[in-house]
Amino acid sequence: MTTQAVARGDDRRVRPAVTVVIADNDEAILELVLLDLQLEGYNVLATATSGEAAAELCAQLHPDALVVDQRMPPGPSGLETIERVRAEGTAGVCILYTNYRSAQLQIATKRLGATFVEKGPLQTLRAALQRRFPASETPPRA
Amino acid sequence: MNRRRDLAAAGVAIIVIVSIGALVIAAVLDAQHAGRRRLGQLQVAQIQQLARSMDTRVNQAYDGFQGLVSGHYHATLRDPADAARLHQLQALNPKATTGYLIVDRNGTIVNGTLLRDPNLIGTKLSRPGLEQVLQGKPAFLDVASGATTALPTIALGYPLKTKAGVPYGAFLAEVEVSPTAQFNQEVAPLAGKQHAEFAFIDRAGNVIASNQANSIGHPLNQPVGKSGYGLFRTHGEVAVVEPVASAGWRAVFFQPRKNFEGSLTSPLRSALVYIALLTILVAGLAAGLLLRRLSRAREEQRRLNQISVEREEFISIVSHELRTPVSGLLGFLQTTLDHWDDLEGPERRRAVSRAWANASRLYSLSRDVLDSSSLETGHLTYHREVIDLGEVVSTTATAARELAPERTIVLDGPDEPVWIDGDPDRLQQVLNNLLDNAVKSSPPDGPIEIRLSSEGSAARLSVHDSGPGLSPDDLDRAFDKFVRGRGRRTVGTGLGLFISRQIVEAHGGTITGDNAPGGGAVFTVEFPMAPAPARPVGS
Repeated sequence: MTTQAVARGDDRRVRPAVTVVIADNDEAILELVLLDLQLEGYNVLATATSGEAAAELCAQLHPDALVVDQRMPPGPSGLETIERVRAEGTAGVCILYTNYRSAQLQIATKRLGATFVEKGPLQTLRAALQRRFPASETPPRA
Repeated sequence: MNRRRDLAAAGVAIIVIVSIGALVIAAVLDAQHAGRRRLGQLQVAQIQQLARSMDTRVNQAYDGFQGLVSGHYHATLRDPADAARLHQLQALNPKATTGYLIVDRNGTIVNGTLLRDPNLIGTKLSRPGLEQVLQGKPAFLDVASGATTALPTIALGYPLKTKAGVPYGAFLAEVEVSPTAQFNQEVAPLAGKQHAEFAFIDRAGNVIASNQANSIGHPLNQPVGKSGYGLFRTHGEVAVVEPVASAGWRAVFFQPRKNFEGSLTSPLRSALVYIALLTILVAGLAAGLLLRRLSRAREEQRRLNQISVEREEFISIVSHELRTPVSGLLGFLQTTLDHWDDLEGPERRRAVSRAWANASRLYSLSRDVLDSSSLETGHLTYHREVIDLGEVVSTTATAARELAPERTIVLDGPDEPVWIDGDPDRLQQVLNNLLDNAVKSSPPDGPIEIRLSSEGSAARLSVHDSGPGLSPDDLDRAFDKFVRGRGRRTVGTGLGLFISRQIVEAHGGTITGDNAPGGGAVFTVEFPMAPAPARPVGS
């Protein structure tokens, strides 16, 4: 399990109004999403490499959004993590960010009131977050 | 469920074969029954023939006595003329042991020859059947003590009649009943070498003649119905009884069943035993073979299903694992492009470096997939030469450090070259796989140690990680296809160690995985050493 509190030194790109926790067992993808969301102006509070750590971070930090990968063996899956976070009410928006193109997984995600986003072009993830947090609600970028 | 179906199929096979066996046995039993019936018919025919022959002889005897007796005897007490005639008749057969008698209408002996007691004349003769003769019908009288011999006798009785046909007495010719009697000499040879009894018995059941000497003159000791003729089967014996009507006798035949039917039933019984044994054997073999074939078919089906599952898993894993570096590659490039101006120099460099790392990972994955396919078809090629394994290891370690500068990768190798005959690219691929696994398994700050040494005629290369070590399942299956080790925590196609083993074995080497005494896992590769080239590389 890896967790880390994240804070970019450059204040120009920080939009603290929307807070995010990211979880992915692939460190390269974790770094990519962290970098891109920070550049997009989101306040990434922490990252985790397991579902369990992600749920604990949500319980501590109560982020506006949780972006979580589906497959993170051997711990709970992304869907199980979302279920727990939803039950505990510790995160606002939950996004399942995965490489799996399963209709069943999409339906299950929707039933939990979460958003299914397929890994690939970053616009998809950005668009999913922007729909839930329109630009008017976020502080303008410096 | 499948096992139950196999057993049911084997059971049906057994039933079919046993049914066929039962049908064959039934056919043999039917043939045996028909044979026994035919045998009985033949025996009945033989005894009938014997009885008919005797009947003819008796009738001939009656006819012969008619001419001999009619009108010649007075049947009065001690009649000299009758006595003279009887003695003349007796003189015709000087060796005879029995004689003749004349009785009057009351049955009193009035004359006789070879009388055992002269005082018998004037006494009443008491023999069963005499009444019938005195009433005018010729007959053979049943076995009784004779008047002319102490031996048991039968007697041919012929009535003496007036011209008007009125009986006034009888002429009796006694015949000895004994094994040596002439009549018995004709019966005795009938059995031949058979273990059987041929006999004639009188009305009372006394044996007149038989090939069994000890039964002659005595009541027959066999349970033969007094009425009824033909073939009888008791538990242990076969009996045939036929009438000699003219004498009131019966011709009988006895034989133990095993002797009577033995020649027929013994081979058939043996055949039945063989058929039954053969049926059981064939049924057992057929069931065994069927079960084996069904079991093999099920095993093959399971294997095919396993292959199918593995292929599906392979496609699923490969597609997922390929998409991961593609996402990373695209993502880092996209975020770099989208935020080019926001990123500072080192950040830009790092993002592009991450994109390159993902592109490298994509290349490695696609090579693993292609290599795996080539290994399956036997088309993986090697370009071997004598190389310094130390140089290959050093180059690979340097590249790994550049790829993951935050990791501590330590190389401990000899100063002198370690010569082996190998394909440098493929050997680098093996070490890359081992290093990649070690990096994935170790914590971010955990060191990875590469050791190279030459021990005797073998070059030994080992990679130690600082991860949690190998579970028993990992130890068993680490080199199998699609196995992603360390409890499936790591990412990858599960092909790296599989391909590595194939490459190492193609070089005549071995690869093993184990837990290091101080913790972590250690993968060790050994290659046979090669002699140093005449002009060392790089000289």
